[in-house]
Amino acid sequence: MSKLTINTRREFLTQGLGLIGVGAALPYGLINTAMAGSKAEPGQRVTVILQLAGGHDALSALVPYGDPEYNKLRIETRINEKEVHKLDDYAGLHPNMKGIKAMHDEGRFAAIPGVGYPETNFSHFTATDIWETAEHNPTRAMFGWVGKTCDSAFKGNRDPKLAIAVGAGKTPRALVGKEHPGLSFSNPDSYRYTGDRGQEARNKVFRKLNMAGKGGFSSNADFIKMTAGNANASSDQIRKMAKEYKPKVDYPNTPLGRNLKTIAALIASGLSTRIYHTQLGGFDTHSGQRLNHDRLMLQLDEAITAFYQDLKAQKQDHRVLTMTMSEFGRRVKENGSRGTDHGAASALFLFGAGVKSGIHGKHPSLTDLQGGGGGSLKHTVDFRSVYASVIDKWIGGKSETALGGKYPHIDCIA
Amino acid sequence: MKKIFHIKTQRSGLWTLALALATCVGLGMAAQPLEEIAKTKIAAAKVATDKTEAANKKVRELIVTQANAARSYSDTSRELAAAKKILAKSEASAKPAAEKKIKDIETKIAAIKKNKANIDNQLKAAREQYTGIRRASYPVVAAKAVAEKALAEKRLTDSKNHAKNTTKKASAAQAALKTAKANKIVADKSCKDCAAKAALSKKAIVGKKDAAKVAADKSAKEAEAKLAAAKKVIAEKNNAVKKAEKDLLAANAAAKKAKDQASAAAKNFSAKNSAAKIAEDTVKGSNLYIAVRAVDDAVKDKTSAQKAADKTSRAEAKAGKIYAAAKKVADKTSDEKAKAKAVAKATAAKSAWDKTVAANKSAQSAIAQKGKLITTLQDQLANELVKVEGGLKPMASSAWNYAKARHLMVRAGFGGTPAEVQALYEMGLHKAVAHFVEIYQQPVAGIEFDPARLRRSERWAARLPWDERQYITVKHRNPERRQQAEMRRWWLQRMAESPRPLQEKLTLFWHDHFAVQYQKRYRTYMLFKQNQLFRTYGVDNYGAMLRGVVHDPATISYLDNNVNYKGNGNENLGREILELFSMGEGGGYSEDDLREASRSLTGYNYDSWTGQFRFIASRHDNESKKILGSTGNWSGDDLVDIILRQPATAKYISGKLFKFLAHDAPYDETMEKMAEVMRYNSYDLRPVLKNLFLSEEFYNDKSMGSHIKGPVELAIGAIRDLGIKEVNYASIDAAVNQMGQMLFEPPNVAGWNEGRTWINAERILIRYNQMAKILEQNNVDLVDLLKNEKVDSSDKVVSQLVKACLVVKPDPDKCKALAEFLGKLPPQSEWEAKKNEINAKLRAVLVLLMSSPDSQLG
Repeated sequence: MSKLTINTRREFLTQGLGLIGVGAALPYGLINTAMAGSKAEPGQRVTVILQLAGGHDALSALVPYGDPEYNKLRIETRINEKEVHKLDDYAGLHPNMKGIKAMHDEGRFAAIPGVGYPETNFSHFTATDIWETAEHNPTRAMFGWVGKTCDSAFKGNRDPKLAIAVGAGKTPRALVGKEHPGLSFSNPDSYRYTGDRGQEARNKVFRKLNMAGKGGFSSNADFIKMTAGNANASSDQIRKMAKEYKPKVDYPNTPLGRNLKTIAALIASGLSTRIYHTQLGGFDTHSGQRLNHDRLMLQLDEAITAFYQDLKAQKQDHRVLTMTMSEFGRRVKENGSRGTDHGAASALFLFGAGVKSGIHGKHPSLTDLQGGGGGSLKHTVDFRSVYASVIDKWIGGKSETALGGKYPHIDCIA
Repeated sequence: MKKIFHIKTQRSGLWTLALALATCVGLGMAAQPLEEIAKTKIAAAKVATDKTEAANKKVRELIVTQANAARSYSDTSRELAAAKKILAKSEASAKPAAEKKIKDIETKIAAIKKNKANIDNQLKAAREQYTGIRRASYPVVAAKAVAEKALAEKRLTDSKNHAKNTTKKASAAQAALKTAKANKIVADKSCKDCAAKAALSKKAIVGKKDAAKVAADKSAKEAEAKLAAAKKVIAEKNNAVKKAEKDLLAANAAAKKAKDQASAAAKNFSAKNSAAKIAEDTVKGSNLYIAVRAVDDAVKDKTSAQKAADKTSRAEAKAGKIYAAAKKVADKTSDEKAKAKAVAKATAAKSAWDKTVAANKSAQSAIAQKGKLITTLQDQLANELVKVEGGLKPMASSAWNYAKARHLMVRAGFGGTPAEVQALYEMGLHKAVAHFVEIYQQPVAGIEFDPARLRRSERWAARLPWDERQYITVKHRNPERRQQAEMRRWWLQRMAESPRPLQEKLTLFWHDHFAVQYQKRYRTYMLFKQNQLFRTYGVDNYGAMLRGVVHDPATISYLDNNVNYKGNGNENLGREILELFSMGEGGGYSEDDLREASRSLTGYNYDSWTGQFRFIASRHDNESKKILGSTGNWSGDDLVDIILRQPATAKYISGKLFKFLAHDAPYDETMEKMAEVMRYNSYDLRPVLKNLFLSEEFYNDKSMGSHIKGPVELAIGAIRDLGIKEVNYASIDAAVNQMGQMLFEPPNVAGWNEGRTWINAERILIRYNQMAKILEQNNVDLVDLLKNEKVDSSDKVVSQLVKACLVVKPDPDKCKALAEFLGKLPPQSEWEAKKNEINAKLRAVLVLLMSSPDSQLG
């Protein structure tokens, strides 16, 4: 797939038109409206990005139970050897990751420990920006890595639904590309205009005021016009798909469960979206970590398990890859309030039939640390290497263009 | 006033000249050498200072004279008293003499009094003259100081170059000496060789005969000659070495002298430099003083003109009445003779009236003129202020218009009806800005809230059985949640109704800046206290506010400082105070600074029962800490002082204010200019805000209509723009919550991200939907809003609604679509009778208008 530059008939159409010089003259609005009802091609690959917001203490998820140093440094937050689901002699999964362990055993789970980057930033906001833009200095950056991937992989495809964030209060920066603004909503039910009070005459004026295909990124006014136009062009379709969806399993009634259910609905209904984004928050465990983190792992495990069981039942699981990310890991040594402070490298998880199962890369050392204070893990894998592997081998883009540099692949995609 | 103004213009002319000359000097463009310029300037300055001194001397002399006069007055008064006593005691025969004496003394006193008054006047005039001359001397003295500085700078450069050259020469002499010494060694060696050869050849003569002897003799003689020559060379070389040694000594001495000179020149330059700076600052300060006085005087002048005009206007009214009465009498009178008399009386009354009308007219135009003068003087004052304090370039009052008044109304407040915007426009730029910024000149809102210190749970409840525990928890929790909701409504109401909108706007800004979430502790009381902190200092002083935040229980508990103990630290507050609250990410602090800052905050705790700040000394880290380069046993209060000393702080805060109030992409230079004002005023905010709201940048195209309104700004904006009365604030609270901004629940410690993060595909629809709800559920009387406008077509209705609610005008085709949807309305005269029906129609258009991208900007 990655070898093909033109992936679908429709992209061929728009790109082909562009080649003969008509596409350029075709108003954006027309293309956009034409794309609004677009459907996925059979077998089209989908990527789900799951952000574990707050800085995930990966040492409590992919537990290095076999490391004496771990048992020495972690007292209050320690997960004992007896509790873990062992993957090998060194590492095991958190006791609540039961379903994920089963996925591992079926060959549908991969873990990459020690993911980070040089000169770690310890601010939630800047670090998240770094991960989302894949830029060392995110204040200068305009676009996110998913947006840039869409720009490179789906050039000319102006479908506003290529990348969608579900359950986000704001559009994640990762999704914003030069041609692709990214779409986001928290809940498909509320993704609709009701100010027309169901009257056709009013709806007509509303559509005129919020015409699709206007605006862009250059000014705030343009940005609002573009966003309003995209909303006008996509809300009916998405709401209908989510409403009419009949999942084959019960999803947990948690925010993540509901969001993954929506994503499953859109995938199974054949929406043209290639990349979904959703998140699970609360990982900033400065105090009382064990209790909070246990709860988060349970939520993660239940939601991911239901999601893949459902996709499998809908015969969609083969085309969906899920990848987690978090802005940073946490310090190896605990702080004074039964928690851990901001650290550096963290682990990253991949789910789906497309992954090469197992642990990839080296575990970070628990003794050779970086930074002052309690000391943080040194990364063994650059996060952009993981992005590059997913972009090139799964999404079908060019990571060199999207990430602005060449990063060695991690052999985690089958 | 006029006098001062006159002096000022004259002076500013002089100053411009001086500046122009100084610029020439600085650029090295001067045809004249610096020395000559300095000479001229020094001479001019001497003339000016001599004049000042002379004027001062005159003042001093008059003071002495005045004192003497006063003394002679009091002496004479005493004399008079004594004479009066004598008169009282004296016999009848002596009385006339005594009376005469008293009379004489009284005459003397009168003369003295007159003289004293004369001296007083002279002194007053001399003082005024002295002030004028002294002020006029400032720019001349400054020009001298600048010229001297330039000269000192040149001398410094010259002497530095000279020192460099002489040092070079000294090292050349050193090298020459080395060479000479080497030459001498070579000569020594060759002389030794020659001596050896000569000795050998002498020896060779011994035992030789005839021809061999002759040859040997010859060669011995040759060798002798060579030796002699070599000896001569040595002498030469010796001399050369001696000379080189002497040269070196001289060169070294010269180099030392040059170096000393250079360092003296450097000292001199630094002295002249600071003298020039002081002289220039004096000019700036004096100009500012004059500008301030000029405005004050002009305002006083206008007030008295207003009083005079009130008089003339009353006189006009009175004369008008008299004339009307006289005319009535004249009209009624039928008797011819009487009528002629009455008519004459009326004519006289008319001419008297005409006179008063003319007088009043001229009085009114005098007021208008004085008003114009005030505006000009205020513009000048703003410019002088920037010269002293720094800051953004002020806009000229002539550029002020309705659209800019609307812009100020939306940004410095939340919005206002067209009538309110019109009134603001009519105030003029300076008064309009003061109207918002000088909050203490406006009445308080009088909308009060008094939270109880409720607890959400009891510690001992955990030990109860489940159902009892639930009972206790619910019993505590519900009232707490109720009062939290009440507080949100209270604040929304204040935003919509306070006569000090900037105070509420900035309270919102600081709430976003020092973000704290209710959901962490569920303590309304603590959040209310924090909110009042922002209200107290938000338009007042940032430094005081930052200190307040370090002692603020809501902040301390939200950022885990209550578990930040000595030896068992928690960096949450320490990190955010630097990263988000003061210096900003990348503001020049290190991870070490952050850890040390956290140590200084140990023990800054709160009492969870009373909700008050509490310092726990036993948990405070009393060891030395090094924060941002200063080492000491710092406390959290010291930390605040250290932070306020960092230049990055004022810049970061200025930048954030600019982004919130003006537009989101300021130049670095813009933020720095604002920061200058903030630093100059020790973090006082009103000068900064005034400078911003007066600035060209605040009103440029990049700023006007570019701000994406946050949900609260959007909802409160609609209430204020439409003048909605009897608002249901629970519905507003619910709406802004839906739109993504629940007060006291920012998403995290970084607050709401503002700008484009307010908008995404779903949010924009929610915003439209919620605004529709607000407009439908509250009593929006659009008939009333439009009653003073002539709206005889649906196009005009739409354009009036746009004028009222939107800052950015939608495209004409969109307005057309709205007008078509509205259709034909009955004539406006019938609206009042069909109010409900018309309002419903207008509201439907308004809802659609507020469902357009343009409505989201302000």
